[in-house]
Amino acid sequence: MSFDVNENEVLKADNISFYFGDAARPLLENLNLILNRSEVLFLIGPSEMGKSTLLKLLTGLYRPLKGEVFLQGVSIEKLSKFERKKALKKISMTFQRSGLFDSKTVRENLTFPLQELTELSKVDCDLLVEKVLSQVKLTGNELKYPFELSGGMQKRLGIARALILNPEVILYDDPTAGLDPITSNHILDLILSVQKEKGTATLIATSDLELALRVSQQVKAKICFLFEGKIIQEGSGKELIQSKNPVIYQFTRGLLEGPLGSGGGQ
Amino acid sequence: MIILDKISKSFGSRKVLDDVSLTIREGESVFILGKSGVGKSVLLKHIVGLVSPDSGTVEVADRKVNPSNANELALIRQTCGLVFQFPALLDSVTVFENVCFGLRARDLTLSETEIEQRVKEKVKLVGLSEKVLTKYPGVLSFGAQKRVSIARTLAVAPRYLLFDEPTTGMDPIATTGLNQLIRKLTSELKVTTVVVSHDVKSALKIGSRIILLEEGKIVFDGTPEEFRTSKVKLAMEFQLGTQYEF
Repeated sequence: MSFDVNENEVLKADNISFYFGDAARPLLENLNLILNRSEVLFLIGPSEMGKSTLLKLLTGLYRPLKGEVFLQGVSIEKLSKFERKKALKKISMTFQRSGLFDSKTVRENLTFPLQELTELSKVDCDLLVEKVLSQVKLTGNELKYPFELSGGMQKRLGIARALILNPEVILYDDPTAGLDPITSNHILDLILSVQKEKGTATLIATSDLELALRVSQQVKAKICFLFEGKIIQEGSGKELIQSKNPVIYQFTRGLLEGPLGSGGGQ
Repeated sequence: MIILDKISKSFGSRKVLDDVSLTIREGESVFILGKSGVGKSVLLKHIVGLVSPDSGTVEVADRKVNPSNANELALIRQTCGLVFQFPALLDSVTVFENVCFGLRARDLTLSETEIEQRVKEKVKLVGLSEKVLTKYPGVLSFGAQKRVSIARTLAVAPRYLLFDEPTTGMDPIATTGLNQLIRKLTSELKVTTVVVSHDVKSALKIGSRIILLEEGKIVFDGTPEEFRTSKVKLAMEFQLGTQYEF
């Protein structure tokens, strides 16, 4: 099938659907999304609309009930277990609440993926740990446990863990949630510097609309708006805020009146 | 009034609060801003006696907060309600039981009818329908869970309502909804609110006073208007990126 593969596409969700257990309707339905090489893409939308679920589907943590996820033109579903494990090393993800192992030190958190997915020697592992820690400015914290780090440091450690396998794609799940504006800017600078240096395809799911608008303008990134299981708009920040779609209009202005209701009023 | 007088607090070798003095007057809506780890939540916990200062005193409604005296502390906590960053609801019981949990524990004279009436009233006040009362927290959205936790705090009719990061992780609509709720509680119930937050826009919109903490000290104390034009470096840094115009 290589003849119809766009070589620029690194990750592609092709008509995927997904729902949890006995849910009345699918969380994601016939959703399409393409992430290109070296691209920065933002994913925004109201809470509980499946942003994190979509990220987990793209990294192979969940499997779509319909449709396929393609990594560099190859369907993840069609790979053998061995090939799948090898392919998925190319994608890393950071989690909303950092997803670190509480009982492991900073160093152990970082060596874990190396031990699981590579056959590197201890010396090489240590060198890589040193390198990524310096990249995220956490050198000197190797023996600390995650609870000894501040929220911003935990996020940086999560990013270091995502970087350690030198992936071609990194998906960030709400990387600035719970951080103050200054620390949020530092985290974004780090994400963008990694992307610039290595040309990593970058997908950032966020609930921080202003951050997405500002950064998308700065690096000319597209913003995808997820609503009721589908991407209902994809384009620049300017296009998003000029959208006449009543859902997007209500969301971008934080209005209580509109098709989305007043948020939380169940 | 809430009076913190020359509070200092260290954790290990790290001094989190350094000789902080602050008076919060009745009816104010005070936002406490600052970088992560600067001691905002620690300050809040001093008010309800969850943390005791190394030196200095805390006074709430003319009572000294003394964490070693359980009876005194219980009286303080009847006037102060703390809404945690994460809703901290009991998963195994319904919303109704969650909302009346504190009420049952604190006021043994209330009849079941009175409890039910109080619960319904508070749930309505926070913008939820009575339908949620029979649901379990796990099936509600994060925003709705947050509202339930506020209803639970309001059920005991506190004079002071303390919020720890109320809008963290919320989308713009839920943020507006929660801000309006805080504003309503201040104006209708005449509750004094103290909000620890990173959300500068919310502070500017609904706060009557903004306090900025840096390295254990208050570096700004003024109105939102004064904050907007402040030359304090941290105040200016906090406002970077909040001026995105539509």
